[in-house]
Amino acid sequence: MAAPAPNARRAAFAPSLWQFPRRLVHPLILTFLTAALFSYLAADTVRAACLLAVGLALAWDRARPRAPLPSSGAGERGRGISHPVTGFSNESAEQRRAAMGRLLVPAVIAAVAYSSIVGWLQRYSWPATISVAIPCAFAVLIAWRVSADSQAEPERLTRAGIAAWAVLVAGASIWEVTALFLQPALSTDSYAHPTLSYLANPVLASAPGRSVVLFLWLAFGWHLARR
Amino acid sequence: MSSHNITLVGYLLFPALGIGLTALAHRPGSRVPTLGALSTRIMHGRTGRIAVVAWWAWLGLHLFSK
Repeated sequence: MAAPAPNARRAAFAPSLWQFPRRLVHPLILTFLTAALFSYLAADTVRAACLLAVGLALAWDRARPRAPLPSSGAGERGRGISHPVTGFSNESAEQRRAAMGRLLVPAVIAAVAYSSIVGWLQRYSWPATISVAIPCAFAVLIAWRVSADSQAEPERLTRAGIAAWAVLVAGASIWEVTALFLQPALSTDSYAHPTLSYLANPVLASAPGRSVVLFLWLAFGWHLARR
Repeated sequence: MSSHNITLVGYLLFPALGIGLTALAHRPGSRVPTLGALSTRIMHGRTGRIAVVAWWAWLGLHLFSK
């Protein structure tokens, strides 16, 4: 697909800017902004900046006008701008899963090698940070790229069913945040009010433990990429 | 019961509730979606897909990076 002409981009900028504050009001984007706030309060400035950047980038992406594709189904419309519902057709999802199925064995070998090597790196060190940040950046870029041009009507789920899971996730998050705020300080661990990170420390203290957790983390990412 | 144990019970309670919801979701005619169906629905659009992948990335960075 050809890139829009510079004039078209300039013309699209003003409507995008107008839409931007409204597009911030989205459950997932608000989750990122809230997480950024808590990371900032916990003196975790770098991750707070990353979370904020992702939240703002998602809002900007939702605010950008897009021309509807001929195959587009239902979409949002407003102020003369079309916002097609981007998604994955069953065909493209099947193609992606088939391709990932063919790559499974090399991916497992690469994941075992990666986990074994990176697990030996000191936690919170720059080598570990860079080693973990590379697959993260790669995965986010791939997700952004893969979802750019696929459109299909998503499966309908009942509101009550979604609400049940949302309450569960919100409850677990509130429980974790409560434990975080009951610590003597946000950056000081507490035995009396352990966070999940604190509970994971004994496992992550050893190189084999880190390797196993890294492998499970990669496997979870692979599972998500197949959705 | 100490506050440590109460906190741990809470951490165990939520996965247990999740297992309960999953069991409900697998009953015929259930209105509750499975976690897989829900994650597929969330990841159907670009915003949801990138948000979920970014959350996964944050998890790795949170556990291992500076």
